[in-house]
Amino acid sequence: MTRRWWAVVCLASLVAAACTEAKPPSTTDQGLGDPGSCVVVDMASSPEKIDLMNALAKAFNGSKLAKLGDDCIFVRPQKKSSGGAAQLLSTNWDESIDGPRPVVWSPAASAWGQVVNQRRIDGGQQAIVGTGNPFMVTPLVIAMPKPMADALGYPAKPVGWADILNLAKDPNGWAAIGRPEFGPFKLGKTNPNFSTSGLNALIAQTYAASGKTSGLSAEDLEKPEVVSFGTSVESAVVHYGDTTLTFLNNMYRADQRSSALNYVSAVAVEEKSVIDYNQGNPDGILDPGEQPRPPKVPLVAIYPKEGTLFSDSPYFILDAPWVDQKQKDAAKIFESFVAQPENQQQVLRYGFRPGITAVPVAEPITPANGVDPNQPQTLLEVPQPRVLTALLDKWARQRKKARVTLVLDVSGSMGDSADPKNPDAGTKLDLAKQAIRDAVGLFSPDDDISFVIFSTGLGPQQDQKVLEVVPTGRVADVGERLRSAVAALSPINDTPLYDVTKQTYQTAVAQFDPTRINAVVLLTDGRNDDDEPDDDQRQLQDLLSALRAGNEGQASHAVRVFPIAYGADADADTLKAIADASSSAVYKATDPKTISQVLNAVISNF
Amino acid sequence: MKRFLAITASVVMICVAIVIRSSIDDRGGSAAKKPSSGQVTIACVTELAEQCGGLPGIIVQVEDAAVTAKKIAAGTAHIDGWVTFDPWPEIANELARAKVTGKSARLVASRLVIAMVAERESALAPTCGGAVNWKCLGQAIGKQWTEVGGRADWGTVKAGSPAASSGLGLLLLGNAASGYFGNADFATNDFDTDPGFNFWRSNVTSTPASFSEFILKFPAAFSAVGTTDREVQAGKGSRDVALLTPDPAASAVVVLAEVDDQRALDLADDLTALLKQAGWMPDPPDATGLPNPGVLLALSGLAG
Repeated sequence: MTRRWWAVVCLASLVAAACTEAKPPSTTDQGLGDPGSCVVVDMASSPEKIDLMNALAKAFNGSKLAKLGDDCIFVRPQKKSSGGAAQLLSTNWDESIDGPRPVVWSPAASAWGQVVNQRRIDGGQQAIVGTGNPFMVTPLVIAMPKPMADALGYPAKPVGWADILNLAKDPNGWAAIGRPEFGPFKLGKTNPNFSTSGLNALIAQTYAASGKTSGLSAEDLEKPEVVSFGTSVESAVVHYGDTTLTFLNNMYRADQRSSALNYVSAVAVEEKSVIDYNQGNPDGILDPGEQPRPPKVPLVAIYPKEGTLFSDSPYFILDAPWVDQKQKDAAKIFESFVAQPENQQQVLRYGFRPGITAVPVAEPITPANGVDPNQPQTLLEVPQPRVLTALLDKWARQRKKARVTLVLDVSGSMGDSADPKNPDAGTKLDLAKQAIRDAVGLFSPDDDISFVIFSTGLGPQQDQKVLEVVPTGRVADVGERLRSAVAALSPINDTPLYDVTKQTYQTAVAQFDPTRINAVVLLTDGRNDDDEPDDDQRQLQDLLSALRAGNEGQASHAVRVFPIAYGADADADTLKAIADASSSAVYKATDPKTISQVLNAVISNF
Repeated sequence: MKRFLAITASVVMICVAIVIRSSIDDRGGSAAKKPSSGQVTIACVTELAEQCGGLPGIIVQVEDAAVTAKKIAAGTAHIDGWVTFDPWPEIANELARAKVTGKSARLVASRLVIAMVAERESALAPTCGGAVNWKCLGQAIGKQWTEVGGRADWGTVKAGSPAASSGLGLLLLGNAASGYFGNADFATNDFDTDPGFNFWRSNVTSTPASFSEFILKFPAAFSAVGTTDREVQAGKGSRDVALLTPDPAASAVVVLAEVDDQRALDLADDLTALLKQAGWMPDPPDATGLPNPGVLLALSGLAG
């Protein structure tokens, strides 16, 4: 071959390489498609706006604007709770479990950026979150069923955080304001370590306790009256949770059963969520085939008179070691795209207030949807980063304590490989055992915990379906024992799911402690299988009826069952029905490697 | 042999080029002017980034006015021109204590105003002797609204203007200070002779405020902000905003100043057209109505 031929071949290779580099994304894959060889901008987005971000990314990817020089840009949002992402960015983001490390992080509020930087600095690492421009905003409100808001005289009479929280603390509940028929005042709060609404509500609660609206200090957090106020407010909490969507879904289901006033009296959520709820789309995500149907009892957004905080959806382009300049430049181009007026109109359609003045607040932010575009009247100041982290640390001690029964499926299928492609991955039971051992440390030392396993052929006579391995005790006392007991488990026989769930639920009801969040966490990888298929349907209906009956009515002893659908073969639909009947939420760990993460999210409810 | 000679000649040529280049650089020092060739580079204040970005075929550096002013004064800007507000070029000269900017073209203007939540303007006006002005607004900042005629649920009075390091922020602070002293002819000595001024100034500058935040979180974030008439008209939407023209009146005048290369001034017509499309008014006034550049420099805190 001559030199000229070599030159031609080299040139052709270069052209081919260049063409490969600029290969546009394929649109054949599901979701957002295949990024091809584009510059990928991974984005961690808070859950309440993930649908919007996906819609914007879809419109952007493959458009003329998605160009960086000769390269195409591909934006790939993934849903991460604000606090969950903050925790991963503060410590270690494991891509094999947590998904791609983000180039852009958009938590619900800027305060999370400060939390991450502060935690990293405290841990001897570099700050990675700079200044992020908000691209939309939504205020934190207190959502309340309309008859209850009417009873408080709202909106004619301004209502504040202190009013609500004092009512929540009052042992007489609604009777304290002459409405005994509403029963106890039940407060819904999300876990501030995960949820922005939870963090903002905690800030507002602490301001209310200190009598301030700005300048909250670390010293304020130590004051006995502030600590006592916080502890008694937490005592009125129904349960916590990683997102407000759990509350709204449960409330909606209760509404459909004409029981809307029984689940919670008030829950701190974003204004956007009230709009979604009142439009019949409580989690803000319309699944295929789902039609929005307005609730029988709408929610009213109460804008607290002392002020509130805005979730400002900052667009943080991370200054992290895994982000290169090209990705930063590409991220800036998507940021400009999001700020365009036509895309800000879309922001508005999703119920957020636009982030540019060129798009004014309008429908759906209207009184017809239970919200008021002319509110809030004033703001609470976001505390300094050190105060924020101290607040989170203190909450762990003040939060309502839990009484939890951990129920683990040890049926034969738990002995299957967690990853059939990887012989070293261990069994599903191995991963679950490790996750439970780790999870013990997530409870408060004062929480009560018990540990139960189920299958068939358990016990000395091999005739039991349920075996209490660790009886109820304080985590501080029984935690180590539980860890040791877990280590010794091995897979056994069948999966008598319905019978066991009912049995452990009834035991928990019998031991109900009104001062605690009472719950059963049910981790199972299979379907009901007790060698007696004929009575399966009856057993399931009995179970669901028992759960519903126990969670409705003013005097109910609400024990919530949080099922975890573990592995690809778990009966997710039935587990969801169990969660719905119990006004809790089902969690999915379809990939067994995610079980630790999922268990962490479940425990955020306590 | 031929190949050896060719390589030797190439090396010699590269060395000569390096020597000549470093000689030019050494003569110029850090304050070297850019050669009058190649692509025009301009600095542009953040407020006008969108319009500057619309100019074809040039390099645009977007930054706060104070950042550019410091670079120009230090001779490290390396820009041909600067799109900013009058009198920022003179402030850069004051900072350098030398004439470091060249000619400037006055392009467009907009009045400096106070945008206020209308309901709150009505409530505060009686406390201000009938009309809200910068002096009484600054004195009200931080007080409970109930102390100055407003409602309890309005919380404390929050008002301000953009940071003084931004192009408009310093103009608004200058205009507000003129309102405090009653005229634009005050001097820096007056800062200390008036016992209330420093308290007032600290109130007005304590929380940087932008019109965009004022509108996006209306009416919660701020009860009033300093801005331009143009920005209010473009962005108030359906919000009930009172537009107040403080006394003495002043304007934000956009200028294009030559720094290293007069070719920058060739951009004036295109830029004016873009600014007019964005709502800026043509035929800017000859005088801004603001305090003199030295006073503004002192208010900015740039002089240390």
